Amino acid sequence: MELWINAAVCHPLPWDLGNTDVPGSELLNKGAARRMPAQMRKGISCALQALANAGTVKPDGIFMGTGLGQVDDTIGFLNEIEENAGGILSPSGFMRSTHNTVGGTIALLLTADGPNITYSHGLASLHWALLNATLHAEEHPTHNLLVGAADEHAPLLDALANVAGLTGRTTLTSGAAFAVVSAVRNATSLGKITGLWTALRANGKQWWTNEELSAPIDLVLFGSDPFTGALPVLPPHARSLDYRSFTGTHGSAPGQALCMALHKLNTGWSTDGMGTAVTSVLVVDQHGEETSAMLIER
Amino acid sequence: MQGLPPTIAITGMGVVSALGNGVAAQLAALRAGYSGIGALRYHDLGFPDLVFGEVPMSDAELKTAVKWADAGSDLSRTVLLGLLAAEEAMASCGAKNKTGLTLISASTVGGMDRTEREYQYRDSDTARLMRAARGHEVSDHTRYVARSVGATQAGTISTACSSSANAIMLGARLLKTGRANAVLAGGADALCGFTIAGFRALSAMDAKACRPFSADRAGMNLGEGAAYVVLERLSDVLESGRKPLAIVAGYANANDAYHQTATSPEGIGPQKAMEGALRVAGITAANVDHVNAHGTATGNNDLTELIAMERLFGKVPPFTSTKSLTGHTLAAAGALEAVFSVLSIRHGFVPPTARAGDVVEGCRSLPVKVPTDMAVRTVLSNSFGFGGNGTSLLFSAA
Repeated sequence: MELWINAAVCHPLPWDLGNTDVPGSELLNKGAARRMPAQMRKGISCALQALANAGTVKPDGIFMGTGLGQVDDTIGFLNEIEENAGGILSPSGFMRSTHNTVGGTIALLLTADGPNITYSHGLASLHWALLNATLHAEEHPTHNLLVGAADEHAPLLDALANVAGLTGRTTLTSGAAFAVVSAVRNATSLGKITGLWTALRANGKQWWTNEELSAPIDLVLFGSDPFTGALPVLPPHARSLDYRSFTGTHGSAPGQALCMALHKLNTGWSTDGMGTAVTSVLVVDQHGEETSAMLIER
Repeated sequence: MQGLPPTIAITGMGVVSALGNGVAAQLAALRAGYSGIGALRYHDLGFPDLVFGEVPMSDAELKTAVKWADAGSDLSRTVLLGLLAAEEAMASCGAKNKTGLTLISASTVGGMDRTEREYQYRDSDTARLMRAARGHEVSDHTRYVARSVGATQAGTISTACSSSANAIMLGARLLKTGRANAVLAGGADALCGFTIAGFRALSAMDAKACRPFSADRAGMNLGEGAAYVVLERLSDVLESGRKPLAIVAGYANANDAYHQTATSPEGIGPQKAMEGALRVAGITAANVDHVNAHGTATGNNDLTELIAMERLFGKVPPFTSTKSLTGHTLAAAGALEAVFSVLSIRHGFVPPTARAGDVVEGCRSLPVKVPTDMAVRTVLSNSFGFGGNGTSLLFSAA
């Protein structure tokens, strides 16, 4: 498989955490922006910026990932139920609590009437969105597809993490990442995804075949299991980095890692201190008994 | 030269719904026109003024019915429903073991039934809420089902009411492209106060038993359930000496891109999904014998779905809304109605739309009102959801 990434945008930037500018904010219609919660607005702004960078007006398909969906709206609607039991409730929080809200809202803004699928499978959500995009791109090589992931943070999650004993080991955060992909390379292409894996019961075991990962890997960006801290098994590689020490943990963090990988691939970041360019980056996440990974190459 | 893409067969099915536990119970109820809509008996959610398509089993009874020995004591109802239907599907597929099984499941609420029960303790006993919240994610049921059936790969789709139809579509495409050897595809959703309050806030619920495709329809009844199908390449099935139940002939997903919760007045998205499924199958609308419609009984859905069907078919083939029997099971609906479609093909009948009345305003087509025996070789099954997300699946006789 080869899925070309023609633009990629994320927020926050894992390699420039001091930069608080949300890319694409100016591209979002002000009226629409006012009706959106702040965290959702950030995600959709990133999507619009990615499309602008790729020169794509309307994507032919939208494939999304999210770990928890619009958790702020979910909590808000639970509060509303509690406060107004038996009374009249506003449907807004409920409507937005649906996991495909971001994908659906982007489609509405752009009148994008192609396929629109949202995956919610923990840290592997984006991987499934990318796999679906790959299937679509193989069937429609001329199509430009929007692939992304967005997750919110809410204070209640910190309280839950605290009682679960995660404090000090895992910092729960939020973030969004969007990419425009296609089956063919074009002038804006930043790299290509050449491998995707989601493997169950793979903790402690090799999840790839030697044929799949036969070439040396310059850099591995990895993230451990949020609950146990268990590390994924990694193939031989030149250098590795715990990317979640930059992004924190949320279901869409692998999207930020994908952007980080593309940044490394395109800025000639050296792995050996001798100026050797990075040509391949493997992003690997462990989540319970599941390992998910994506290989990105120049 | 590239050959034709592989044909995808359904080899196993499992269901639990308001019509009962198991495929045989569904078949008997569908043929009898039995409606499972009624007041809640097994949930302590309130809402005495509403009726639902409730699975007629308590959580304890569900747990007893699940065969998987490792099912713990703190599982959400969504997990229990999913385990029960998945076990039946795997047991019925005729193969003792499935190597390299991929599970694609779907849910909209996941473990919300447990989360909402413990939410009141968020400040006073956060640990109590945390125990429930660990099973909150919509993918929680997928992980349990994956363990119970021995899947080596699993993913979860959440596209509201089209979720499990999208799971079947993805499963078929993974098999066609050689990315999977066998797929268990479907979904599960349990009733919970969160969704009931939400759809009530949207004024989408009828206090009485729903009347899809009727002039006096006044909204949906929520339901719960789970359904899974086992998908395999037909060549593999035949090679192993087994017989397929039906063929997944076509599929398509399209976005209406009109409104977050309503379909465009012209039903553009639904028509695009139905046309896409026909295109993948390589057949025309004239070849469709029966439509298992989305048919929620909301004013907007039924009108726009009918408009789209009448434009596509001219004379719409016998169509029905089995949500009048099961309630709207949200993420499980697409897979549930896929199983019903296969039962229509294999047993030669169309299940009724219970309580259907006069024709919808501005339309000319009425649904099938009583169980009707007829030869059914091809069924189009529609699932349309929030965000304008529409999926049509096309099933044909093996």
